[in-house]
Amino acid sequence: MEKTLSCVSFIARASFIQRFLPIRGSLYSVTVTVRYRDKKQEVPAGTRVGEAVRQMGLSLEGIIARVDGRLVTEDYVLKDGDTLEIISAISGG
Amino acid sequence: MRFSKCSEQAVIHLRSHRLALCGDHFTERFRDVVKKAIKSYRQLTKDDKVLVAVSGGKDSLALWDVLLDLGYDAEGLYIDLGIKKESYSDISREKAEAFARNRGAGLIISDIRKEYGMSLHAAARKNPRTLCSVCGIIKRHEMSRVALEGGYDVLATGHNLDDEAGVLLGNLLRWNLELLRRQAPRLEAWHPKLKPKVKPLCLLTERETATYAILRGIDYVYEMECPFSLNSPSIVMKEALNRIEERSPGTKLYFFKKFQRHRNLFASREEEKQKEEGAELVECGICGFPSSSDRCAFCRIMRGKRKN
Repeated sequence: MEKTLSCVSFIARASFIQRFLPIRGSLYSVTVTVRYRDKKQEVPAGTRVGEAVRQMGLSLEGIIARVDGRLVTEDYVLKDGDTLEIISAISGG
Repeated sequence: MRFSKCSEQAVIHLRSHRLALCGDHFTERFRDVVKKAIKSYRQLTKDDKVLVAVSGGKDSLALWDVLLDLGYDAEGLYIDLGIKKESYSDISREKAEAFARNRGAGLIISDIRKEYGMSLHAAARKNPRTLCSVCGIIKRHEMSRVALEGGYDVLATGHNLDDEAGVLLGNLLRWNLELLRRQAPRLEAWHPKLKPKVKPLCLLTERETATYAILRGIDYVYEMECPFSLNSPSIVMKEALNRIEERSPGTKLYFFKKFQRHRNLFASREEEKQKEEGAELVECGICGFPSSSDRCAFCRIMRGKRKN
């Protein structure tokens, strides 16, 4: 069966490197883990939430985003140690 | 992104309205939009006894929450279809019961296994219809039955703008004129045993109802969906519309509102109307609800096995 993105939550976590090596540039990365279907994706710190969402192949219109449990808009810049949760708002039936 | 009015951090960016709002202002706006829909489409009066169909999801619980806050006499109805897959029915029922407890609101549970002796799955196995079609027939029947038996004036459902725009697109793509005629924010009762059906969230997107539910601390089923709805046509339509909305904000709202304004374009021609009005309806010999034959679709599926 073809998988869909409905009702999927994604979690973005700061990687080990990002947490413990305070160096700038591309080594700052955020690991994005798709909780529901076990997908993983990395985005660098400094990425805006909107970019991270689009990189996941999702539409901003169909999701809401939380960083450390707090609702944020698409222009929020992901920082070292942030946890991004993307919740699908689309329901079917 | 900051909200200019109060300098609080914005929690949602409504591109179609060029608005970024903080939690408090968004919640206030959400209620205002519901009030606007109720007023514009003459959905409810303060004297109405409202039955809210709740599924445990964000839309129906958000609707119930906002109707209670707006002072409506609103009670909930949860239809337990006995879906065992991923414990879907048990989990969603718990969410509806927890909400009712927290708000001190009345909740009616219609458990079809207890009422009729079979689950949705068992009913669908004995029927050539698809499972989703059987589910729709059962839910519509139970909503009508409970609304009638409980003396409710109106039945409210949590259909939102995405639901309405998605259904509209699907019906247009298939040029289903009969369904296009019937798609309205308030459906009048066409039989004395039926109640009017209203959709007070029809001007709000799913993203808005999810945001409202989270801000209000409503514990809804958000990490799972009906296990049978994956890949459903309604999701395909919604995703397509969201792609368009992203490029052209406001399209969904415009699409729905303009359709409502011009819905009479799809009205029956005179001879069709006469034919429709002339179509004989009888009352089902088992449940008594209007039907085109002596046994309604629901009773044919459930075999009229209601206990008690």
